[in-house]
Amino acid sequence: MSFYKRKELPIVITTLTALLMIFATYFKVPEAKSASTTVQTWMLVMVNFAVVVGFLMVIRMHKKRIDKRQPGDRSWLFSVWLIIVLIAYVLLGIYGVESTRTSAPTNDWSFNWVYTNAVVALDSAMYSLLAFFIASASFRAFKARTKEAAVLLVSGAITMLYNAPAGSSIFGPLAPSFNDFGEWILNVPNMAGFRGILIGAAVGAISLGIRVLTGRERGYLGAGE
Amino acid sequence: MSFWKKLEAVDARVIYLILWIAIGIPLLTPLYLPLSISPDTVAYHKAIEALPAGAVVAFGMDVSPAGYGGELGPQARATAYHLFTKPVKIVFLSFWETGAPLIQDVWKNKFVADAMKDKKYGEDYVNLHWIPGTETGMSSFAEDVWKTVPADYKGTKLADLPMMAKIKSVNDFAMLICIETGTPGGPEYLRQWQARNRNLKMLVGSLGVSVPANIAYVASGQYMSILRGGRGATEYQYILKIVTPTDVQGADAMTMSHVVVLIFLAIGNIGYLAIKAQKGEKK
Amino acid sequence: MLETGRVAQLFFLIVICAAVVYFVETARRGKLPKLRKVPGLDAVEEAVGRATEMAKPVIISTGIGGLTDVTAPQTVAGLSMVGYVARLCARYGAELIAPARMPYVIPVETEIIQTAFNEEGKTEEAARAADMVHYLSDSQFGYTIAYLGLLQRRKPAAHIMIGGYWAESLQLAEVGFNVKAIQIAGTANTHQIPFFVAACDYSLIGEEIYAAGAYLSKDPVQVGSVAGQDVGKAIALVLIVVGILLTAVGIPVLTNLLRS
Repeated sequence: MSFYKRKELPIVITTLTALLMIFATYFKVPEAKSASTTVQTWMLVMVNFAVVVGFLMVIRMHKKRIDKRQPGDRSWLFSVWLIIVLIAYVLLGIYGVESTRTSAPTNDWSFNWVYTNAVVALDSAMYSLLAFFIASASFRAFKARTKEAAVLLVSGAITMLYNAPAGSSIFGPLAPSFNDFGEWILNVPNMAGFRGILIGAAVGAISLGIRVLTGRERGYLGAGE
Repeated sequence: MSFWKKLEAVDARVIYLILWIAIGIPLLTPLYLPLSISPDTVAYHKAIEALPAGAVVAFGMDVSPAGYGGELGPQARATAYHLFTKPVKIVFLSFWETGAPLIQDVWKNKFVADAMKDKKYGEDYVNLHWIPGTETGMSSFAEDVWKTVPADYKGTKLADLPMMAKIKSVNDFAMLICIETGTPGGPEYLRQWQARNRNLKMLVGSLGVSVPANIAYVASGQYMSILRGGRGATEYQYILKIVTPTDVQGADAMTMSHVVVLIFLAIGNIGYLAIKAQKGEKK
Repeated sequence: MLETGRVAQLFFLIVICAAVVYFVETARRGKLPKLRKVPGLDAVEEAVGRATEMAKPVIISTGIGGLTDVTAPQTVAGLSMVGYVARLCARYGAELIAPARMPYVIPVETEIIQTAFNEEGKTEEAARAADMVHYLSDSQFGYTIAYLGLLQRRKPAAHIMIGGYWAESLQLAEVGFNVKAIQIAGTANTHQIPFFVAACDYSLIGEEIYAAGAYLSKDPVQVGSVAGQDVGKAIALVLIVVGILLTAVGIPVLTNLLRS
């Protein structure tokens, strides 16, 4: 098998790099810290090239869709539009950098205008769909089928009322007590649950890290033995 | 089919329509519903008020367009306004490529622009724009600012920005304010920045959905405080006396949406219990 | 020599690493620890079977995280599930669709699916593994809207989501519910777990997703590492209990030790 296709090389690189980073984190050795910073700088450069990979993959994928278009199916037009917008925005960014002679295209008003009025607006619209999905999911899920579900329902309702800006005001003079109870739900049972999950997830990540470092986890290299 | 069964099987689109109307009303005209100020927002405000003159504050604009448009934009603007009214030095930066352009959007806000009038770029505040690499970038920045970020958002070298002369690593920052959408965000800053500088104070502007998770870090003292989503932003604006009718509309819409969902929960459960009772009778 | 404030961290890191290595080696020698039942994982085969019967596809995603940052463990856990589900799809003849966000995850996912189909003897389908992985978009909500469209158009019978999910989690889960798919979802992002619990048929909470690969494959290395993880959690539990007791009586020795 070709030397470059063997899985041992990336495992060795991963292990050595990780050990350097761990050593630099825990030990006061200036040379290690300097090497660690250098490696991190290399990583930043490599990460930036992933953007180029993403750009080429989008074009390739949508070109495939255009090539495979069927009569009667007009969804390929969206692929054409996507490629046009993608290239146009990249060109606008390059223009922004060149025209302002700075490193950030956001210094040009046209790039900024498209970003603020198209990207931010569209992303916010997508995010706002969550409000509706939460309503339908709550309607379905928060039913007092069992004792535990009833506890969930009551605590969920109290927390929602507490989180609503004007929620506690319906209790009039009892509002401060209601707020205190809402805080208690957030700071005691909720926090206990989340802390447990956080600790478990963190330990799980350490375990996976050890498997990767010792070459026993090869899923990220592609399927193998 | 009985009334309750029909109710249980209601099309989700009916729920969406009712919710849309309920949220739409305050967005057309502010209702000025009452708003209580939560202790976290008061603590957030106090922490910034207590900053000594000359303190260096990192302002992490780690937001996505979605988060900024809704909850984090008002938080960022209010926080920036507050910081600009103080005699502190502000380093704006972002580890999200989508957050970096929004730093300049924050500066355009009427209140922020007013507060910035007496401030000089390069001496009182700088914009280091986007730093790539997510957590790796945070770590690299924490170790060596100048090696990681050679120039600001306009390409001006750090050597030509007077306030950056004394800012070489995370140890030179007194406070970090992170307006975060997700990852990388607060926990990543804790691991890479606060782990290196135990005296670094942290404040976090958080999405409403992230508050239950972030509250653990406040309780442990790792964060001094958090702003709780859109509601926290409006509360902060009330404290700073920069609240506008648009901000009030946002808070009112939030109240209306919560109330409508609670009504749906009540109806759903009444229906469920009614169906259960009917089934019990039939037996 | 050691960094201030990192001594305790390093000590516990070494202890947990040692525990993981010990249990992995023990498992490789044949002493497999017992894993408790995880209903969500047991339901995966049932879900794929359902998809085969209904002649509808299985859609599986690994979230929107990558392989180069803190979300990498979740993505790796998701890829582990992709391999298992791909083998089941090959065995039962169900169609597999794998939407992806990060471009560099796609070759990995494609190779995993290809190998899975080859191992089941389905070499013709294996050759089309690249068509099963759909790159949707690098942008979070661009990916989400394309994914929602995919769910609406293809109406899968099984929808499996294991990996790093953020704001799009509820949107995907709700639309998956609307198209009447059986849904199995898991993430270690604490703020999204409640949405999966509310909207999905089965959910994996936190580090259950890391145990998924071990649970399904019974691979000694993975099962051993799950046992090693539990040692870490046991240590955390002991520290919490002892810490509470000592702090309650005003003895800060443990707090100071952990800060050293």
